Amino acid sequence: MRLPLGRAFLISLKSIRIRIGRSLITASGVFLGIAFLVSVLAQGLVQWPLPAKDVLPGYTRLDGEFEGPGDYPMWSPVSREEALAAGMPEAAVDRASRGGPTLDLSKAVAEMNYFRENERRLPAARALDGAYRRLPRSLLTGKDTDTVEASDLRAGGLPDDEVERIAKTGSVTLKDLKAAKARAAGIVRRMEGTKARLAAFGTVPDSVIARLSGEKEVTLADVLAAAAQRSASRKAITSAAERTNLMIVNAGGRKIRVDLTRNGSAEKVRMVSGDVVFIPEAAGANRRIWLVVMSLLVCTIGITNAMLMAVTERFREIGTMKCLGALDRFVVELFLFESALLGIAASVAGAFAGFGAVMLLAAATKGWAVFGQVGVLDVLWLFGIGAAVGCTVTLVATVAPAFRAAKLPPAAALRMEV
Amino acid sequence: MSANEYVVRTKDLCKEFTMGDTTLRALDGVQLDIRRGEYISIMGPSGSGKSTLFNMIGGLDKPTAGTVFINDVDMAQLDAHELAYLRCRTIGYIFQTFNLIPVMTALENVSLPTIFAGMANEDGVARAMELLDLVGLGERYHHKPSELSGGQQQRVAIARALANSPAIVLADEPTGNLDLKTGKEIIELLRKLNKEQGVTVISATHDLKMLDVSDRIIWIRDGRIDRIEERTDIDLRVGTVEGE
Repeated sequence: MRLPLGRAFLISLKSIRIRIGRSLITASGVFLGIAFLVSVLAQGLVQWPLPAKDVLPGYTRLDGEFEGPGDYPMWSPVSREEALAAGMPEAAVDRASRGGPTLDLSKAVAEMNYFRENERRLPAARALDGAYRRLPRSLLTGKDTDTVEASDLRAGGLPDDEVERIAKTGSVTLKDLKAAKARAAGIVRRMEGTKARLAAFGTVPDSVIARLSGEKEVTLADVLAAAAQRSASRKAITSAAERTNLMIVNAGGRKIRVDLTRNGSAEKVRMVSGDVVFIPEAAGANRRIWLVVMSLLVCTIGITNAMLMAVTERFREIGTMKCLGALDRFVVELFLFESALLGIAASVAGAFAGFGAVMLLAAATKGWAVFGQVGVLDVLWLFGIGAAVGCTVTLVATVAPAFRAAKLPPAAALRMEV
Repeated sequence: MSANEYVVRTKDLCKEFTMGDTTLRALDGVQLDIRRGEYISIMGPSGSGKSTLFNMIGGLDKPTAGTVFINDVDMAQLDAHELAYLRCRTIGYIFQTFNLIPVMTALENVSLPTIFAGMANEDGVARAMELLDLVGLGERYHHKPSELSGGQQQRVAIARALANSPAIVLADEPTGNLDLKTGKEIIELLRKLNKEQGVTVISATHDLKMLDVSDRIIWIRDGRIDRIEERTDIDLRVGTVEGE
């Protein structure tokens, strides 16, 4: 007394076709839920492969100073011992490592460059400051709104280019003149301050820097660990990075996406000097998780409601089937077939729609290049998730009411009015 | 008398419905024996319990107390499989609202019980065509229920009830949704099947036209059997009610 599966399949297919209007409403519940879910998931996909400058909003560039949005040089860690062995003066090592076990070589290079630039520009800054100081006192007295002629300034000994800068119109107010004088003094003060602090780098030979900063492989884990060392919030960033995707932008512009949740641990990813790591901001990651959870909830409830209605409005049919000698199992099977067909079709269509909408939007705002940068495997994975969630929710939402209906005595099922 | 003479027997049949705090006793100790090949009408006003009795006999609902024997088998003793088997092969059901499966054609509706009975597809279709011819709808086998009139739908339902050659046909107000003329045709069809095929017909109804063809009429009132009349007793009183 077992019904052939082929027959059950045909019956459910026919049932969908006849009740096409009702089936479409049911399916649209599934469709919308899955489209929403997939569109949220696809957001992550289109953000990743974009050029580094487009990735920055919402992502943190993880390097020497990853807390700022700035464009710092790549973080290239060197241990203290290594740096000392390579011939870097101890004062410079102390300065660059800030007392830690590793130092950021690129940071050291940047500071050294700054120091040299400082050395070059300091005499000119001092000369300008001196010229301001030597200006006749008579030029600097009076009300703020009084004007001073450019010719008087030149006569007072101020260099031509500075006069040109502050008195473009041929004269300058006394207030502006005083401000320019204070600025010149400030520049000298700041430069002298940094010179004192960075003097240690003046003794580092270029050859040492070149030797240390060559192709140096580190693991992503090293980078994350070193980053986590630097402040309390970095721990949160690291754990966020462990939970979510990471992208490495190679010095040559090649982009490598590392999904730690799928590729195991950060230990496996080797990096060379010059690579830049992007990790999602902790807040951004949380927002995405929240969206995914909400969309899952919305689609679960929507689908459950649609399937519940689809089953309950057919209690009479179920009662009739049982009167004709159908086993409970057959009734459940029939509804499962029907909802599985609906669920699969609507889920795949919903995944297409959600993904398509996100891609079109990305293409419209960021150019057609986004299509080339999305991996086929990622898309399949996305569709797999969409179809799996859609079918699971549809089936679960069907089984309960169908099972309840099948268990009812036929008389009760026939009596039921919905 | 042989044990097989009675196709349906009920003993002290009781059914209670609980609605909130109040308990409604729809059947109260019904004692009934129905012989093989009889045409029985269960008569009574609305709410008298005749549909409940119909559901009990058909195994569509479980009694609160008492037993129903179909072919001397106690229905309460059957498991879900055996009950489905019984509904499939021993009893054919006809409803006031026809209860055809709306998505299927007449032919598919009639052959559906043969699928449940495990009949091969071609055999089931042949059997269904034969039955549709019998009820006079051989030409319209490919129509959906929505494309048929009430009387035609009920004919399809009768053909469906007969699909697995049941011993009993249970009809719950089979003429309730039909006009007088169509109702009479349906009654005559049931009577013809009863006479020619020897099917026991048990019909719950308050259609007086039924009296004319019934072998026995069981009057139900407030969940009890009020009286049982033989056909011969009422022939005199009813006269004819046709021609409206």
